[in-house]
Amino acid sequence: MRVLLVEDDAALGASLRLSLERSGYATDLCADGIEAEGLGEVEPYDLVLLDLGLPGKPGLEVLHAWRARANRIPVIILTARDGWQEKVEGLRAGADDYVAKPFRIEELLARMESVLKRSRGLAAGPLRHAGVSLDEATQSLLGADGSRSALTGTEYRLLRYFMLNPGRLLSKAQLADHIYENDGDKDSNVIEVYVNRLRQKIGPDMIQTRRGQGYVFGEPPPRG
Amino acid sequence: MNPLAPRSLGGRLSAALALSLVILLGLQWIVASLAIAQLMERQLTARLARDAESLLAALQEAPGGGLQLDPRRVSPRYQRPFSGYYYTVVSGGQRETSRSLWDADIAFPLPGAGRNATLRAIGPERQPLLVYAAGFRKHNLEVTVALGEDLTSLNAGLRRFQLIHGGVSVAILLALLLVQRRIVRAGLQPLDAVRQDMERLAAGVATRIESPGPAEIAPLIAQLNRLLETMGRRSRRSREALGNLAHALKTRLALLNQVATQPQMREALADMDRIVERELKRARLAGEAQPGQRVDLDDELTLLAQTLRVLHADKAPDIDWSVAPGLRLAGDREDLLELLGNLLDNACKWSRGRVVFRASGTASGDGILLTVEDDGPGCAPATLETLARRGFRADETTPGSGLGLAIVRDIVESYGGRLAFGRAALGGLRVEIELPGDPSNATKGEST
Repeated sequence: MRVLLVEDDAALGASLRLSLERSGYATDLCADGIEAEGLGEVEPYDLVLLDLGLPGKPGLEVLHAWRARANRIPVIILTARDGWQEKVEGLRAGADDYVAKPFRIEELLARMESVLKRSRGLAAGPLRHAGVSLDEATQSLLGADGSRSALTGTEYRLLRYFMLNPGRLLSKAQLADHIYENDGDKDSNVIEVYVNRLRQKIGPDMIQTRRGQGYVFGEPPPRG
Repeated sequence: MNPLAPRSLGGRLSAALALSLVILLGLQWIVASLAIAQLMERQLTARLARDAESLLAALQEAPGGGLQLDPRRVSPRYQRPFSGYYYTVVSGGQRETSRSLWDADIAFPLPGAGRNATLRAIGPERQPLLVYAAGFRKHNLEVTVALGEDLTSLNAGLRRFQLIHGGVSVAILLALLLVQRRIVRAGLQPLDAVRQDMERLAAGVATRIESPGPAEIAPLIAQLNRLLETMGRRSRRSREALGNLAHALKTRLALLNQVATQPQMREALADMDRIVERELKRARLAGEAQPGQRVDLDDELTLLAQTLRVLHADKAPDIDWSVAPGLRLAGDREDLLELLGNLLDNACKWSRGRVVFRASGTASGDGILLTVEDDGPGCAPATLETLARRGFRADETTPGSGLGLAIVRDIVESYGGRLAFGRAALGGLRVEIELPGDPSNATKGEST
């Protein structure tokens, strides 16, 4: 999952970014409204956390600009302005949720997950697919038999992205885009390694390879 | 209230002007009537004097001594009985009366030679008479000639004149009153504009008095506008300052929340957040200090319901709201949004998916009744009592819970309203709020 964190308070931004990284979100931090607007247009983020009081361009205008260009990128407004007037305006501008500062990181993560699922038309609750379910709190995998196996950070990010996009063809570059932040190492060959490791944990048929195209996560094809 | 000193300027002016007009026109009617009556009497007297002289000329020495009237030189009108023209001539012991008098007689004084007297008397057939008696000396004899004339037709003419004159005077009075009324109304027009501006101000449509008003009260209006402006600016500035303070504190708190590891620290931070939230929100309330503003409930609720559906998207609450048509809340928009937002947010938080909101006028008059019900678990009777107290927190485990209702209480109190809790028909909590309303709701109620 790639997240754009737009926050002008440097200390809070850095600390929040760290928390998000720890929870498996590849996070880009940006402190300026104009820059954020450009990034949101260019980079394939899965979610934006947007502060309202930004230098360069106010957060609401950034959001308006995106929505005016039919950019449906999910946005959670993250602000210390918690009046209902601001909430109404923010959601009217096209935000998907509104979290008031100060917040507990658990609360923010829960709301991020629910917005992500909603934006993909998935039901709320833990991610589950064909007997495999993902425990987002512990970043581990729950098997159909109740067994629990730990995932590394990258494995977790990759599996979550697969599970949020079941049945869709995902290229290696696309996967790399969504699990690494901007300045991260985007060697798409590494993806192959991680996909193989995931196959060992969730079964070989849950992720199918389409040669030259990428991968599809979903039900294993019926065996002939 | 004294009807001659009504409280409105227009009323006072009209009453004073009307009274002076009535007195003026009444006086002129009396003076004119008296003047005409006197003029007519003087004319009549003058004619009677001339007639007396011609009667005197008709007096001749009688052969047997004394004086005698020459019947040929006496006008025939003195011959017809009760004709209205009468004479009596007295000379020495001799007394000669006109045939018209028949056998009646008129009493009159004997003024003596060279003098005369005028008086009123009652003649035959109860005719009102003007009697003129004059004394002469002829052929060395003292002669008194008295003439009487019936005043009936003259009086009738005078009355007719008075009646017509009175009628014309009344018509003039009415016309002048009408004109005067218009003058007063036109003169007070600028005040009326000011009054309308004041009403708009009270209704929250305007924020200042636009009409300049007449010179007499222009300084008053200017002063009032200045006060309104100062108040508005001050309240805006303090709101801004409080908003900035809250913003700055909360950003720092958010950072501290990130780095806090010990549960004690986290708890202290949560307390600080609550204090900042509650106290700064309370300080930001405009309350009744602001000149009246109006909020269209329909518009606000449409947006608010959309917002709440997004904020509680996981629950997808069905917010069923309705507002009595045309109902408006008197108050600051931000305050009312805060009130409704917290109220409905609390209901959504606890509900299982259904929230009912109703806004209507109160039965007793211009107030507004807001009720919110949810289908959540509701509250035990003991908790309901706690809710009714100040500074409550209903549930310590749900973050932020209780705070919303505390803010609701602050807002209701700052508007002088009433807050009550109960059990909803749907099973959950029922919150009932009564707010003193917009005066225009009351006038609406009266007119329908």
